Amino acid sequence: MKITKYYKHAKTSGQSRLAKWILVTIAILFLGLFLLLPLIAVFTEALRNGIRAYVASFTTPDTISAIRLTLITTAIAVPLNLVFGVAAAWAIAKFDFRGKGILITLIDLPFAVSPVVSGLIFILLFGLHGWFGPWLTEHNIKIVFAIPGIVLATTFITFPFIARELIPLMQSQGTEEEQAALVLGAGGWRTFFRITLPNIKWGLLYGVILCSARAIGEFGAVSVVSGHIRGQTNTLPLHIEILYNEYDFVGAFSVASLLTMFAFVTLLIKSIVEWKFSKDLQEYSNDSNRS
Amino acid sequence: MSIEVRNISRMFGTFAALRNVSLKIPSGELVALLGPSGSGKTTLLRIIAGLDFADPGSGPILFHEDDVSNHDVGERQVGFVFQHYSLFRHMNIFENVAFGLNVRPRKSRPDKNDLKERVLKLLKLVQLERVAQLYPSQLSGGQRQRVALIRALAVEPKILLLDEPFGALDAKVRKELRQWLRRLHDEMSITSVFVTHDQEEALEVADRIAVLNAGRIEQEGTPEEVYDNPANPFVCDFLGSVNLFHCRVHNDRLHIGESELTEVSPGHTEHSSVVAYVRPHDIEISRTPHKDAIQSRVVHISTAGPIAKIQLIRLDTNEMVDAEITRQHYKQLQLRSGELVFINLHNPRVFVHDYVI
Repeated sequence: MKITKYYKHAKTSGQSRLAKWILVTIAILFLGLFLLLPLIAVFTEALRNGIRAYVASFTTPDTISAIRLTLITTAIAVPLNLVFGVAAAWAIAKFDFRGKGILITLIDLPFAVSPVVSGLIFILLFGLHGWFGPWLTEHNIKIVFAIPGIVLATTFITFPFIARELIPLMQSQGTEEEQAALVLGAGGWRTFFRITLPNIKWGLLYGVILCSARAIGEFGAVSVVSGHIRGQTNTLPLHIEILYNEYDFVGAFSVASLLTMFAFVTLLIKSIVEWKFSKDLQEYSNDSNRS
Repeated sequence: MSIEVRNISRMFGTFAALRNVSLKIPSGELVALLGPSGSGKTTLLRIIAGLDFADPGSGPILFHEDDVSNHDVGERQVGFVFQHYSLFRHMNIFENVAFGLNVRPRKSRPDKNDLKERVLKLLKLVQLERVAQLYPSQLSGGQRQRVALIRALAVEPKILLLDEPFGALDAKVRKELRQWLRRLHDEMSITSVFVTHDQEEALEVADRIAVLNAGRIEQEGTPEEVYDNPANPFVCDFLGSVNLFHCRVHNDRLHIGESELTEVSPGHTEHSSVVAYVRPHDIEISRTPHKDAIQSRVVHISTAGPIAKIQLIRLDTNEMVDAEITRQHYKQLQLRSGELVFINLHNPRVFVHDYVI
């Protein structure tokens, strides 16, 4: 009683109105300074020499090659993590086994380790003087400073996104529906595709989006293993850095604007999926409340 | 199809869910596995279904003399109704019921028209044809339970297993559905086993009852057998409320203090300390003073409902006694709270060892 009274009182007092406006102003200033201003800067710098120069910077062979490499890396890393993530989440959520806690911790490892360290691990393993280096040279296989290294590093960094998204969802859904399908005579695969997958589809899509966004934007780990060979091992973020270091500001910001636009698209899809996803979740909790 | 399990044990870590349980279920009967939570009844049901497996060293699980203990759950052809229905929430009701037929191998899968006809027939059976296009979340608990039941029946199982089928429903719907289950069982005459912790439900619906406690079957028999001749204090106590009287057996009669009470069935040896279990409706209340009765005082009277419930307190031990008499008898007696009465016992079940409630 006392609290509500106090709250009501505070709501109408001039003091609280002042506090409200101060807080809102701080938030807006902060957003403007840290989000809006950089956005404007990216596009003004990119368009400084006119639209023609902006478009021209996309058509240089190096940029085209960087775009291609980024897309290839994402196209390999995301499906790999889709399979790994679903398998790991399935195992953790639906089965009991020894070492489950360790597995969950291991999944989080890429989040905890600095990307640069992640990159270095691959140099240590597959580099010229690394553990498998001599063997790899002998068989003429290039991993570090080549596309396989970039794919490996990206896959490692983006591994947790899908698994982390699915584990709590699958845990909350339990295994009864799967058991019901099994009793009705459905096999394991059919149960997965007809029952499990439809139940996790929005969570899975959400994880895929986050995973793709990170795969495209990953800088640290990729930077260590790529070797920065122009036209060969440069992804978009690395390419931007090189252009910037060479004082090609228009080029750097044009390519950066590309990544920015991709971020917008990701955010848009993410909000749509999030909205659908939360509706599903809500339906589920309603379901279990009522039963 | 008859079901038989022999010497089934199941440990969960250090907890023994089932200890050497054997049970025979005759073909076509409706059997209740009755027990408190943690007694192992659901584990036994899941082992029969193939959703759980008995520990190594356990005996076989026989369906009509065939050992199915190594068969996968899908191969056992049982219908299973889960406690929380487990309807597929992304499928509508029609698709839910059709699922079992749809996942059959192509050879035995009914064609589209046949399938539709069969599903609609089942929906009609439970009067749910109008909700065929709705999703599980749009249905009430009772409706969902009925869908879960016909989904299990759609694949024409040889055995129907139900895990606390009415546990999550409110009292009125529960009562309707269990009578409906009984009728359905009589029509389809499919061997059915259901798990329940509600003794009233088991006594009313089942042909036979197996009472479980702490991983063991305490008694198995018809509802009359287990109710009227409980094998031990646990069964006696679990199947309805009961009053305990500490007494002596002497000359085939129960004695409390100076009073010589009712007769016990012959064969009870003289014993200085036994416990008599007496149901509330076997307590006789009288106003006429009598030497061979227990003097008590009326504490509380509740007359709402078909019988009058009288709560009494014994003057000798200050223990509470619950009695139930017909309303007619209650009117004749004209009992009042605080009044002194004399009680006698009928049909006592006498056990030597005390059982802690």
